[in-house]
Amino acid sequence: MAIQIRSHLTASPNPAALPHLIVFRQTLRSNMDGEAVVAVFQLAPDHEIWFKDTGGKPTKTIQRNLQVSQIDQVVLTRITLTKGPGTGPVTLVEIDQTITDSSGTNIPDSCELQID
Amino acid sequence: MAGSPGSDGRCMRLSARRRGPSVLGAFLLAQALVSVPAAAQDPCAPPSGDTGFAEVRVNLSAGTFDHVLPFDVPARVCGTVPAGTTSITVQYAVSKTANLSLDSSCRLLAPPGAALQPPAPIPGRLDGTTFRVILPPLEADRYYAFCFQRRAKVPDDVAAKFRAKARDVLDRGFAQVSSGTLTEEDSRKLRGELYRRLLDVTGAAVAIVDGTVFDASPGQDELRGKFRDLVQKILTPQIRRNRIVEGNPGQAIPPLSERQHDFDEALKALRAPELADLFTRLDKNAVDDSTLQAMLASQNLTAARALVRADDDQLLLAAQGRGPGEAATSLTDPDQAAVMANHYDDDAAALGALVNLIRKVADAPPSSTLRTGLREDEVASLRRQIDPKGPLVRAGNLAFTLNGLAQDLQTNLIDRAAALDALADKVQIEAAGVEVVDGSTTGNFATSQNNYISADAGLLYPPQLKTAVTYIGVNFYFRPVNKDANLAQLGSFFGTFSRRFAATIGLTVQSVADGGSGTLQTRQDLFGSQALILGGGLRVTNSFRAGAGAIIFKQKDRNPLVSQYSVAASYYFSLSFDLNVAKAFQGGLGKLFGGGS
Repeated sequence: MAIQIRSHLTASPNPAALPHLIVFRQTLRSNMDGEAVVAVFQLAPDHEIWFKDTGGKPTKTIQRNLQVSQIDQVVLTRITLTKGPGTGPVTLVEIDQTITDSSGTNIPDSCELQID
Repeated sequence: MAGSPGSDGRCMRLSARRRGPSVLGAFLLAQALVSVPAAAQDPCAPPSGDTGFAEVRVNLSAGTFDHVLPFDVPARVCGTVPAGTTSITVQYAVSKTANLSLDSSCRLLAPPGAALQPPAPIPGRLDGTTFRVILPPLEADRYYAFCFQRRAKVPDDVAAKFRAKARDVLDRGFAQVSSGTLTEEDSRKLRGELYRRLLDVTGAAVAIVDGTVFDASPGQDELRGKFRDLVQKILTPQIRRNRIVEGNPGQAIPPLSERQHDFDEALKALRAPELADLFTRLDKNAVDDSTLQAMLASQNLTAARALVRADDDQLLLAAQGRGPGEAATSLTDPDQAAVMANHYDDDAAALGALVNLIRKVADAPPSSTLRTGLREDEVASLRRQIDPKGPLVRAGNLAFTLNGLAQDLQTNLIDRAAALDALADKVQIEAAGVEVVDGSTTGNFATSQNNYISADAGLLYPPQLKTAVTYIGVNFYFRPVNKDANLAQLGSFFGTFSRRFAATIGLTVQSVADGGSGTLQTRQDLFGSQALILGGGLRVTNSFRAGAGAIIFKQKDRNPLVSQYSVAASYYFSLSFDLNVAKAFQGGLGKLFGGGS
């Protein structure tokens, strides 16, 4: 089935001093109740900002599995961002998100996080 | 344009005198009366009386002066400027050659090596739209070109006009930014273009933009400084819009056109014969079933039936989110994106209704009017259409996704446009605080190129003749001299020597002949009752002169038996007043001496 982005991804707090647990929020809707979708968060490879995976390791890509209903649904995703190897200092980081629905269709979203 | 070489400061004095109170009679009185209202209207009308300056009027639009430039005296230049002017300054270039040239931006084109002076521009005094600026004494025998620089606040109406241009620059400039962050280079280009447009709109040569969004100097970047948040509000939806329209291989996001192509392919699957047969069968069954009739007549199933019957061109339009007769969608126009979203929404609803209809048909008991006439293999074929991975479901999903993306596109375009508007508002405010500098240059004007001639009248004493006589003479200077110039202000005695020294030729007023009353005559005048004088003199003050030279007369031979007279000379000393011949004769005989009009 398919999904739509009803309101764009935002990050909170914003700006944030890293490392910090960032809450990503967006509103999604599916044309099928309980549709399982995959959200992949991605950072540019060269800069110093990284995600922290569940094991505490820095990574540039992190994945979350979500369930989306037929009515507008606010989805909150919590990910820790931290500083690591890479170019810097960075004052603004772009976080790209790719949502893949159950039929394999990808749709893009993104947000910016200001770094204190 | 060179000034008339035959004129100098003396001409201006004559003009002033003509304008002043006069005893020349009713004509001049009438002229003076007539001139009062004109003077009252003319902000640059020279004041009556001696101001101590040579009064010169400049027309900045034409780049001309109304007089040949005076020399050796400070000149007060008066002109008018447009309303809103906040200050005006002047610099000038000087050359001994006539090829002096300034362009309209006050750049010196010729001669090589010439420079604007003084280094600190001379400030003018502004009174409304009239300005006056005092020029230091200029040199004679020189060519001058002047650069007037006017500063003015950008008027509100011009700033408002500029806003539209600025928004256009920002719109097109930001569209070139491919990332979500404005780079230093991107910003520099944008600010440079904004600055150029500001000059275009104001018609100015230069704008004082320190610390503003137009400032492109190193270390100054307000687009990435105080306007960073607004810039980000433009770039964020722009990036989102670009990802929808252009895709992003790094995220495995296909471009919109590819999604539309996929949708087109999926819609072509609707032309499967079993779907057309289904509608044909249902239409027959509905003849006696009003409920089925109503269902088939619903908006969504009517739209679905149209898709099933559509040809390739119609399906292509549907895949592109267009209705019949609609032009290709502009992907930068939020209204067109909204129209596209509505079409996809209709398609998704139609395809969803068709899926539901087929599901009802497949699930209906064989005795139902929905199933009447359908074979099992036809039902099985219909079931494959609505399989989760079947073509109908796929087409419905793509329509739903495209509807979401088109809505997202519309939102992003609106957000970007709103942020552009907000930034353009800020830029307009910045523009209204900017001072623009408007350069006006004059042509090439010459100061006097003619040597000066003046009249001389005084008393001379030749010691050998033991008699003092008055004389009148003419003084020939070896350079232009402005009699209005105060010698003491022009430098030391020796520094002003060329302005003081003149050769003198004249005639005595009284006879130097002797004899008569029983005495023996020993000399006669050279001409009738006048002797010739040849000499030189130095002005001690502006008009008082000390001189010396030779007095030429006729002397009787020393031999008393010879009564012939021969030309003889004797030295003399003199004191005189240096008179301006032209002034004395008010332009009549003065032309003989002044050499100009």
